[in-house]
Amino acid sequence: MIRRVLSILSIALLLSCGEPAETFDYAGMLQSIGDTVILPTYDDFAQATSELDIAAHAFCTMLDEPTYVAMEAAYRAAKTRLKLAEAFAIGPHTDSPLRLGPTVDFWPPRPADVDAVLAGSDALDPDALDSVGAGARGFPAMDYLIHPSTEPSEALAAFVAEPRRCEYLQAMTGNAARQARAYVGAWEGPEGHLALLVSGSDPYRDTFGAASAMFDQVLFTVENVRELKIGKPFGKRSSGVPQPAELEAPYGERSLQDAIDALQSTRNIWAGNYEGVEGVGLRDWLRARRPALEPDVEAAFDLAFATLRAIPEPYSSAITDAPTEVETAYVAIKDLQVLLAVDIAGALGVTVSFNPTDGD
Amino acid sequence: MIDADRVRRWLGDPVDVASLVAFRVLFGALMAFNVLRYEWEGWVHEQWIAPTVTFPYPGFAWVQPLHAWGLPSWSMHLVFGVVFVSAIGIALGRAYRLSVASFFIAFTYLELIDRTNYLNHYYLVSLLAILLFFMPLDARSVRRGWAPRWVLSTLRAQLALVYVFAGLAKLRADWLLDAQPLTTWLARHIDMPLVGSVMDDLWLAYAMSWAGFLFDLTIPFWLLWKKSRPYAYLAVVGFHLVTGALFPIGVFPMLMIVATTLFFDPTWPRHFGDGTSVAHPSAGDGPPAKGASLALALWFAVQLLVPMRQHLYPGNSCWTEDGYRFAWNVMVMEKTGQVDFLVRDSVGDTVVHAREELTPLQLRMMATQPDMILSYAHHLHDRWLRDHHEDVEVRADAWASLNGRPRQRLIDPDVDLASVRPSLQPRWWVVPLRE
Repeated sequence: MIRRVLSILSIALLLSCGEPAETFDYAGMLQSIGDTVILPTYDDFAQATSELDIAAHAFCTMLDEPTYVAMEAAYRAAKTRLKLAEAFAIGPHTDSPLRLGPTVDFWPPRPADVDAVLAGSDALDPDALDSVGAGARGFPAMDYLIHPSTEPSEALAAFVAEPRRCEYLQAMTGNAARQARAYVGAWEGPEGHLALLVSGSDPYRDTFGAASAMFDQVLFTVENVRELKIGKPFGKRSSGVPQPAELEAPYGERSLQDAIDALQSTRNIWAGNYEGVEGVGLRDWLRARRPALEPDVEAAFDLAFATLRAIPEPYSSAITDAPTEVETAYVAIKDLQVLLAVDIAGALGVTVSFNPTDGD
Repeated sequence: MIDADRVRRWLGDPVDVASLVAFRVLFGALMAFNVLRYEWEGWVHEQWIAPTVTFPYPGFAWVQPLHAWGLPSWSMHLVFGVVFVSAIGIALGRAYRLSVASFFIAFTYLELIDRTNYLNHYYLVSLLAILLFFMPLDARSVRRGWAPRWVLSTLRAQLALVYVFAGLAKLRADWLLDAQPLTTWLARHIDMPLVGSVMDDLWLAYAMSWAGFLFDLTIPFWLLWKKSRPYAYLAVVGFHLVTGALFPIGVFPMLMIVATTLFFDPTWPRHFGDGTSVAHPSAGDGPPAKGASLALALWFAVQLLVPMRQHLYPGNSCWTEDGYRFAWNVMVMEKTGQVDFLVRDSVGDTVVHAREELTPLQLRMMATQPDMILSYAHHLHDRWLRDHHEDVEVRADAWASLNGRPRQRLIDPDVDLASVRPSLQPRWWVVPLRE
């Protein structure tokens, strides 16, 4: 009897080894997401931040309006690349020892922190900024520093009147450029975070755990867009009273664009695509598990983007002047979040979690 | 008609103590190992120190982490230290009653702090600790070489109940007809070496669902029958090793592999020694006292009734979770959820997302468990009142998916949860599951 059972098991094993069925490859998906989306996004972020640093130096040399406008445009371009990385702001972004996130993207801005450095007399250079608080460096602080006014001529006047502002700007952009390069270094190579993801090594339980972590971060980002970037300034957490102080980038009026870019980062991971280059993404994972749900996700993404783009700029005004449009976008993003958190997580077998413990 | 006196006499008969000692040693060692695991993984901090809000069981709100009573937060590590030392004491049989009592108190205290951390096998650990406390398994008593039969039979019966109820819990259409949640769970492993290619095959999910159902329901009986026992134990080991490899269920597989050795002939450990058995008196200490027999009968009556209480409630208990805990519903559902809270006061509406206050694990557990959603709504109500808000109402916008079904509303969004008192009544404020 036992011999017969063993024979059947052996045959089954041989058949399964000899003719592998088509299966979904988590490691392959993660490698593709890394190669197609994560590394190129961080490369572009490093490049854009380096260009911002150059533009800041050019502006501080010339101190004229054309170079201010060019520097401000470079700031916006670099900020877009930073926001396009939100859906994979894991590993070196959040974890020690690097923990790069707070050094480049601590928001909402804290004007008092920036003003304190401006009013001080300490030497200002990229290295010196390593010792200041997160509120005094990075892109949100830059947003405040660069935009004493939304009018370029008035902004320029502030820089001319206060030479230390330019010193601070160059220190800040230099510091940010160095941090951006640190992201690239932390993700690429055999010791990089992408290698950990693909191999499912610590801190991930296995490749499924790594894929789940990627899904979690997408979901986390969608929720951040809804709650922190759109809802909180709109007054969703304050009895309906708008809270302009909670805006992500109010001084350059980029808050809405930040939300759109962050949501785009989730779609890039979802589709596995970036800047026209196509790869394998979470969408392919869903196709392998429950393809019928894919149109729902695409429709939910489309609606979320359409309603966000329908909000009139600037967002600091829209939270009081266009409540209907803001509410519509808020609801659309929430629908996307619920779809991902409940239906898609269930279909993928991802029990949404950030710290796997025992279960039974 | 059962002859009670005859049963009592039978329960008082002596049996070789060797298998009981082996169980005691392995159980204590496993529990000590589990403490090290929790410390190593950082779960003591994540589950007992980091939370700023807890979900105590009804009637146990007074059970709080030590730091809530003004002690330093690291003192929770000391509680785990007590569990560790006590578990070693159990394994060695030294200061036995003190060890078991302190183990039970410390371990159960940790479990009572937060419903988030409920696990069926930790409930079993607490039950086993209670039973061990009353059993003469200390180093001195076991030197006699024997123990009354009720000791062995009680532990066997307790384990049998766990398996049988776990089998009955799988007597559901989801499990048997739709092979859920195994279809979902097995597909996680499609990149496993060798077997990965079949992990998303439906036949495997069905085969494992039915095998799991039949295994749980019948394994105690196969273990009791001498002829089938070796094969049954091989099945136990295989089953638990496979489930342990596939699912993150901690020490549960090892606990059951260890515990089911109690079904062996009680002399089995002596085969690893010099093989000599110990003579023991034919009558032992005589039948257990009537009070003790009554207590045992009462214990098992409770053990039968508590798991069955879920059937007194209307609806699918996986959805409402009425009577779901302490009922050996082991791994019978995959539930995902998302919940927002809307707090309304005299000023306006505020959306509260619990992420900022709860740990990820608490958030994940609460999002699918109606009683925890209710508790959190009450917590928000109290918090708002403390902050001098007036006319506070709390509603939940909660969605969940059970075993692959499309998402559905979990909680009636029109119900002010702050006005709902926790009770044993059916949860009318849970939206019925659409099958």
